[in-house]
Amino acid sequence: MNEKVSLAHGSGGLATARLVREVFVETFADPELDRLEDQARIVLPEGQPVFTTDAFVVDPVFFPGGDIGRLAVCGTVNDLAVGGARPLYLGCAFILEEGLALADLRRIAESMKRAADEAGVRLVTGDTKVVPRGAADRVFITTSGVGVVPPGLDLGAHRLRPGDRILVSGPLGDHGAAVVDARGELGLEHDIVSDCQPLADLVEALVSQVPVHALRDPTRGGLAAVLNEWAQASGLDLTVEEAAVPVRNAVRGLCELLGLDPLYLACEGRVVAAVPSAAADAALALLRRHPRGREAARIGEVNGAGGTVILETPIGGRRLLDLPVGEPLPRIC
Amino acid sequence: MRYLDEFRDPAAARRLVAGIEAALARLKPDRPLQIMEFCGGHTHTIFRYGLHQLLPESVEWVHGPGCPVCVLPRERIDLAIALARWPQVILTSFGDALRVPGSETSLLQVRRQGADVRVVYSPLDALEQARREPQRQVVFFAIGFETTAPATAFTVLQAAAEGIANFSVLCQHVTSPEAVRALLADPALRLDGIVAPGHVSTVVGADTFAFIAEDYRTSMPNAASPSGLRRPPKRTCPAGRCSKGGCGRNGAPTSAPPAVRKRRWGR
Amino acid sequence: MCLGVPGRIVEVVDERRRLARVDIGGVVREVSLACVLEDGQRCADLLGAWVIVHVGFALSRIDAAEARRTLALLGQLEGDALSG
Repeated sequence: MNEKVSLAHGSGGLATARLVREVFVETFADPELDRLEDQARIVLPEGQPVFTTDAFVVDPVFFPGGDIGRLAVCGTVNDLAVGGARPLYLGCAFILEEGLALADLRRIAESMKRAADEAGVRLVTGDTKVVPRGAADRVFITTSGVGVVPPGLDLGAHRLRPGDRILVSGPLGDHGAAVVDARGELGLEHDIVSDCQPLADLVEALVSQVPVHALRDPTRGGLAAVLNEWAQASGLDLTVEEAAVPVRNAVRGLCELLGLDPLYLACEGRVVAAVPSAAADAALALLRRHPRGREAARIGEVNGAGGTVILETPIGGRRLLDLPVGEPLPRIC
Repeated sequence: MRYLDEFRDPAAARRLVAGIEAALARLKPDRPLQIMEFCGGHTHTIFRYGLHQLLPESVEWVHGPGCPVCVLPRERIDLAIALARWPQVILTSFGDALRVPGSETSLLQVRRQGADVRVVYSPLDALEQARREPQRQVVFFAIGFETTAPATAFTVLQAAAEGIANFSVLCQHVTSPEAVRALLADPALRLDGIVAPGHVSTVVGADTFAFIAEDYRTSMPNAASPSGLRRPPKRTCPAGRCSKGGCGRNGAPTSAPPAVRKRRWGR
Repeated sequence: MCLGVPGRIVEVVDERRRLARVDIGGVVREVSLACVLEDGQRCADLLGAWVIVHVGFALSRIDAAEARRTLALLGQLEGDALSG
């Protein structure tokens, strides 16, 4: 097989068939995928079927703690999980840039298989296209996922109530910080790695025992984006105590140095949960007992009508936590 | 001592605020006191920690031109953009400059269109790019006030010492005193105090800003505060100084683009 | 202009180019000591010292005594304000 992806690999002929078979079918090793039909047959248990789709264009493609493949699987799994669903099946479409090293593509596929196994989902269908050099940045992945929400579970911003407590399952900003410096061009030495991980098991443990109102994963835009979306959707004010938000020392240090704010950095392995105040202690204890939630913390609460997010600063001041504006860029001033 | 946490102590902050409130209660100014800071780091800190909300309403912040890119004429950004468009050029820059609009576009936009624009943390990193890619011309877009100029200067000296021929600097450093003088010359601006930039002062000396008190208002206090000290200076109201036209609210400086007056955190 | 962060000098990288590794809150970065070295001083003489770092350069030295003086001054301001 050639070392690099060429336009021939996307033309639908022999080269395509070999690429699909040798890189994806063999790596994903799924009986449904092996059929190589244009569609996959799936079986859904009882409950509310849910469906999600997401595109992944992260740059660089390999970063400390993960890669675009792991990100694609975990991101889609988590989108299903925060609805309370058990994720079941994923499909993925690849747009490959001419010239991408096949070894890199194999590495990505293997990472996806590992992530899928970790999450307990099957990769059952896919597609591959090749675009000319420059038309894509190495590889883009679009993933779609299907899951089922157990009967009676209804999570969402519409369930938020004044008095609810807001929890996070662990330190924020690890992924965003890891990617900002993933190319190592800023010359920084640190041990920050992406927190990219599937969370369906953590979520299931939580919602099966606590009457959770809403769950989200703070990806692009970080905690600030999620809380603002909740505030706008519910029309309620949310208050966050900045000193209570867990952030790793190295992430804090990197943010101080580059002028970034951890509240706006993406996480790919955390959930933000809104639970009734009476259940907050139990929820926190439960999260902390789980391997993916050991550093969970209570960070704020839902107040009355309003629609804004208010941050109590470490020295006792208050400010609005706005929606982020564009990607976080290092600053000097 | 970590030199950060001790200066962000909530209890100490509350005590200082109480002290400020007590001082104001005694002075009873007939209009809100207007204090200007013009270090971008200070502006950021004020909003980040909620100082504008923590202080009593009788103290108003006037945010000066603290962004060394925003005070540049658009044509200077255009220069950087034009250079970035040359295929042989690697345009290196601090992140701050990427989103600032030139006459038609921005460095971020042209980067998306394929120009080789790279964010660096230090001019030393730009010099390293020049070492690694001798076939390309590495241009460093040198922005910043006095705090940043020495870094550019030492990097130039280092490049010369090593005989690196493919490194050049588009020098757009600006100095603070002239910006402050321009502001203080504005008759619409009535300030009671200024928080001078701290890190700039470590480079040029706090005496650089002594002219504010000497040349402008005889009793205008002026405190240089590195951004690590997150609290405003104690105020004394210059008695009898203000009273023509009463208490105006249009103290905002007019020589800076609107972007400078907007809240700037979370970028 | 003002993003200066305190860091501790932990290792010399290159005496001739006056470069050292500085630990800034858990993140380590190569920093030039050109602005803070006195005449005749070597990077090695500053091992363990604290500096303010801005765009990869140590701009000034900070030390515990000065920091304590500053904190004391702030404390004095509180006292002055409250007592009139």
